[in-house]
Amino acid sequence: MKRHKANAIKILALTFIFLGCSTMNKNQTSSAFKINKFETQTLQNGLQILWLPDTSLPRTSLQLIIKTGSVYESAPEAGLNSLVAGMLSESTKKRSALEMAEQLESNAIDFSSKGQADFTFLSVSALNIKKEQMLDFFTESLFEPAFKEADFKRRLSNTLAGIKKIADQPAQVADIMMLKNLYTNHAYGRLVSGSPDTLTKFEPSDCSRFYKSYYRPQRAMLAVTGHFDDDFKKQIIKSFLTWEKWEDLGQALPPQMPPQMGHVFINKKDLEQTEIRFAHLGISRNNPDYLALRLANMPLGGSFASRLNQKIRDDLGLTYNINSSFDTQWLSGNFDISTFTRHDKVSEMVVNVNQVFKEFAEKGITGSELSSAKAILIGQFPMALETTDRMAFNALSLWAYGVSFDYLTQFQENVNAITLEQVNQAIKKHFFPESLKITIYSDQSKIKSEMNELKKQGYSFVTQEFKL
Amino acid sequence: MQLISQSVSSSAQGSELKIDFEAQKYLAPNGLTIILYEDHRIPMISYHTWYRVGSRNESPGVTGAAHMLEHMMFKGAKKYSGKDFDRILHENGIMNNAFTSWDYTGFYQNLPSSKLELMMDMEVDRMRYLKIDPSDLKSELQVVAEERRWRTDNNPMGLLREELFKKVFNQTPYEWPVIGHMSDIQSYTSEKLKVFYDKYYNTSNAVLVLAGDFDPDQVKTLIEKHYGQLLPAPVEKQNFKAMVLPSKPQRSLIHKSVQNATLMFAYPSVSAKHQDTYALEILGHILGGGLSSPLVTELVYTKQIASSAGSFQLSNADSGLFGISVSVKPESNWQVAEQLVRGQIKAVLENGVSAKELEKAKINMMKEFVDDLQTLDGKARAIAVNEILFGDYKKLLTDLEKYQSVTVDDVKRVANDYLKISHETFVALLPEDKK
Repeated sequence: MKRHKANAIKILALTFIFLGCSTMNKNQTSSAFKINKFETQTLQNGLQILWLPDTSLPRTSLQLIIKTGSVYESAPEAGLNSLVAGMLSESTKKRSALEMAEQLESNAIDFSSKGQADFTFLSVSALNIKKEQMLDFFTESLFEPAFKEADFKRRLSNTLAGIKKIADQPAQVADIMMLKNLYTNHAYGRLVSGSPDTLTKFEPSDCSRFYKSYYRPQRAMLAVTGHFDDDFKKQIIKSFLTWEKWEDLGQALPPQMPPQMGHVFINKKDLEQTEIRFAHLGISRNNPDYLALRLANMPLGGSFASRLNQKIRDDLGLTYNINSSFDTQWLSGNFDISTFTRHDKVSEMVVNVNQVFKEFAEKGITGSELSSAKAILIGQFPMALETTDRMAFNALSLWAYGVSFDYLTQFQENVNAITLEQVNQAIKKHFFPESLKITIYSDQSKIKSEMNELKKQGYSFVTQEFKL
Repeated sequence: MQLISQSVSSSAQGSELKIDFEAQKYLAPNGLTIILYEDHRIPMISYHTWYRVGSRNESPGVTGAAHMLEHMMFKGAKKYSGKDFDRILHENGIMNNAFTSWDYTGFYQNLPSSKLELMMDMEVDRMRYLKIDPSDLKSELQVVAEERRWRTDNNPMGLLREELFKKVFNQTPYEWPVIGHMSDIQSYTSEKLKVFYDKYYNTSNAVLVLAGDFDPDQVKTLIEKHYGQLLPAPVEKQNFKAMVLPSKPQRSLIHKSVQNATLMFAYPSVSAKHQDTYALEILGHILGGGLSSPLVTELVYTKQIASSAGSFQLSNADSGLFGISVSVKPESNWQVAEQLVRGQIKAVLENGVSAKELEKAKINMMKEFVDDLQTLDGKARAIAVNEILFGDYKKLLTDLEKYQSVTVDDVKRVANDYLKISHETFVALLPEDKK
């Protein structure tokens, strides 16, 4: 890697200090959690960079978030972004895919690139003695992908094999069918990796086109963490200034409220256990009630001490695992309860979960449950920022979701300030027992009497086929 | 409680790879091993209590007892009831969980450092005064049965692993699954579990590791106050049945309703304490440990018959295996994939590995080592597992030198010593229509 002089670098915004990292005084024992400051800067091409130095271990990493995901795809393009992200691990204009793999591994450089629904996340890490090579590989993969036909065909074939294998994972099938019925045709209801129908129509040129449009610096934020000095900072800035800015594209559309779907049953012969999901649409990540709902969910199904865990697992012994969560996305989100049980307990499970949920939605939580939820969120907060990699990931995600970094710096104060009344109002506003839709994935021949029992209790199920 | 102190400060080789790792180890008169790693980066403590008991301490008919007992450790003791246990932890901002393996059982919490004494009080309560109430057990049996269905009976890969271990570790305590057989799970009694608890859950058989934000002197006082009341109960050394090497290859084809074939090759190898484990781990890295390894290059990149492939050395306290796994693409011929793997094994037996491959494996193992030490929890786990398996957590650091000293000749020798066709177990999970 060539060195260069500082005055050769064009930076749009001067470096400034804005928020912090997660360290305390090294030799002080304290229960106070102090967040130290770190730097950010914006390059002329629009790329934003966070610098998070950490010399506690001899490693360095880069994490990059790009605002591109399956929400930017049209229906026929389903899976294209995920394919493009995967292709960044293949050949570049300088090296073949095998040469890249060989040289990355010879230098113990871990590289990954993954397309998700709202954004694409790239990361690379290495021992600090290899950080220059790490930077070279990362920028080469990001700026100079070759999208060669042979790589494309191999990756496509592997993706199709992976999609086919989902049928062997009961929990994954239940999750996919739950989302499909919640979001109907919107990207959030599709598999991020696409479907055989869409994938088999793509050409390498589709990848080049999508890459050129969306993998651009003004849509991205980079975090540099670990062992680095000013020289390395200069190398990073110089390298990333070569990332060409491109015309920005339109925004993705939020999902429309789908027509009310009924409960869904999916049959698979020979399943030994029944997977069950309960879900309704929820909130986007930047909703102002986000923190209040995190607190509300904790006593419902967010911990071992939650109502669902105590009743369904501990008292009734119906499952090994039950949990509830708000899965928040950029444009929407969903609330869901996820569990599994033995075939002859399906109706008992459904009735009891609905009972717990209904009581929770109607009456809200108690003062002691709120105190406990606050204790967990505040008590465990330092763990979420324990390493600079975690700090970086949190900061990058907030930026991509359009949430202020104050979420981190003011976290403990904001959680403490939320009242019981606010939480219970948020529960009334965002939890809907009458909208909770059930997805059951089981062997029809083994749960006939259970389904009849549910029918007697007023539950009506539509039978669907699992198909991607 | 009188404590004997010992401390160590070590570093990995190379000036730029220096790793400060200083911990204090104490042996209490009641036999409790205590290791303290002070780190004030965040105001939290990772609190690990590991017991030298796992599924290898069971016997046929009571398989899964160690795991069942792990579950019952959350159902209440003398001072804290089962309902109180989780509630109090959460009211104090503490997250907790546990796990069971073949050789050990671990309980761990991540807690605000101000809650240390509470945590000690709760762990001491269940270390010595656990209640194994029959009505709690009745409900928890169903929970564990669901866990078994989820992990194994409803998961084809779980079934494949169970079949593999049963064959490779035949007639040793590693042959049965950690979670136990369903018939055994359904027939535990509180009396049976109490015998198991009394024998293995005591200070003499435990390692306590604290990593994080505390003052060691204050912690020593707290340990003396809480754990000092417990009496030692030394566990008699158990001799486990040694693995008998098979005289001919074993082959098992499992047909299930699955989309693609998965192949597993296994060869009896060595325990974690054996010197050859270092060269075998490096062989695992070289043969199938990355995208540029021979197995992945051949099966995934060149022939494109598999979507993934890998190899590994699994080292337990008393035995181990060297394994190779391949996920064959749905439309591909699994028998061709099997032959390609055999070709790669033959090549490494005949030609050994190159110096470049060896160096690549070593630096990647160093990177993994550094990555594992990023968090308090990661450090506490690394300390605990080394102390439990080897009686010396410092092995964590001396291992680095052992890996560095492995030569290309060592790797070729262990490949030829252990990857013998006569000792091979081959298990394949196949779609019902593929014979």
